[in-house]
Amino acid sequence: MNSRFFLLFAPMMLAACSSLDRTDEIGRQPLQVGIATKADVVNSIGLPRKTEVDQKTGQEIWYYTGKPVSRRYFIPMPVAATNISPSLQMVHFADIGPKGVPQGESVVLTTIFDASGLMIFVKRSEDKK
Amino acid sequence: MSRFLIFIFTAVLAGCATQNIGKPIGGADITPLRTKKIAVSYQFVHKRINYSETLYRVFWLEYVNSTQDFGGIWPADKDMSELVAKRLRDQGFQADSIYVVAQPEKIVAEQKSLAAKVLQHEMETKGKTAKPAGSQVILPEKLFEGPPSAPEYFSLADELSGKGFGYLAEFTAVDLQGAAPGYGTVGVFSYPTLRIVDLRTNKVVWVQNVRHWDVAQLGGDLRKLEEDGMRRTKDGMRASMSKLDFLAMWGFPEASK
Repeated sequence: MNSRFFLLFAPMMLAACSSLDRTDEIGRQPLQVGIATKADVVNSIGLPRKTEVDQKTGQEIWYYTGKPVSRRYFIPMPVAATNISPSLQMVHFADIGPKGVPQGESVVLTTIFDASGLMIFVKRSEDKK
Repeated sequence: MSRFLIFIFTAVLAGCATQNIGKPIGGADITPLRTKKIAVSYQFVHKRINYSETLYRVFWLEYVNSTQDFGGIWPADKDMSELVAKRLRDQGFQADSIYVVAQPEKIVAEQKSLAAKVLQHEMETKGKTAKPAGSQVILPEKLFEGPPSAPEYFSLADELSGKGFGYLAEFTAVDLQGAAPGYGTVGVFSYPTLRIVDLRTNKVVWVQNVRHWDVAQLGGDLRKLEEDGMRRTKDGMRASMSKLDFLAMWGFPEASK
């Protein structure tokens, strides 16, 4: 029974994977220092969460977190029913889904680009949270 | 059922299609906009794209919010200023992007001065709204209604006046928005506030919240907005701009009905 249930619903669950969670790409995509450009990095792992520019050197630091900022859930739970007519009933739902669930902001990857846009440094954090 | 949901989604988007009604400040006459030269500036105060994604989880809905920084890969302010100027020229106005007519340091100084106003507003209203992190923020029109007082503005205005410009049209957006509401659609949205200053009197003559967006079928994948130097985001902004009708917005009789 359980396996049938999961066979039925697993494709629907998988079909709805978030395109905002980049943890896998950040962890597995190779980024080659001295070769990769900003465009290469964005094509591989997407845009960073935050960037900083060193005004003196023109170097740019990109910080990646991988996780989205937050998630909210709408989970309808039937809480009451009202008879509108002998053949019609109105069901009332309450939303019991958690709101604003933070996803963690720890930086998992840092890259530095020189003024020409070439990647000159990359560091992956050991923190995989 | 799916037809019903598509209808609802279309209806929601159609609801967004109406522009806010702008207003001439202090009863100003804006008809000279039709004949005088307009310098156009467009700026995202934060160079970031805020995402919202709706995931259908069979028994519940999941809403995911995130935000990514595009400042390192897309000179959006310059591109968007040119897009608006081009759209205005297409509608018969004499318009140029400030990036092709003014000195870069004066442009940056004026934009920083406007951005400071927005950042101060953000600090004052922080925590007063219950929006999820990464949500789009629409600036209140009254923030831009007062006469410009920053020295950075006057420096830029003097240069533009000297070059024969009659008006400065400044679009200020907090940031950009990408949304995947379902059925594989991905939208890219911007909500700038437009302030038009008469360069002869240095008075604000028009303030309006402007909305422009475009929706494409990208399989619901917001990552596609970032690929190839944000090509699809730029395409979306270009397409959205072509839908803006400035003639109608400013009440000119030539506007298409």
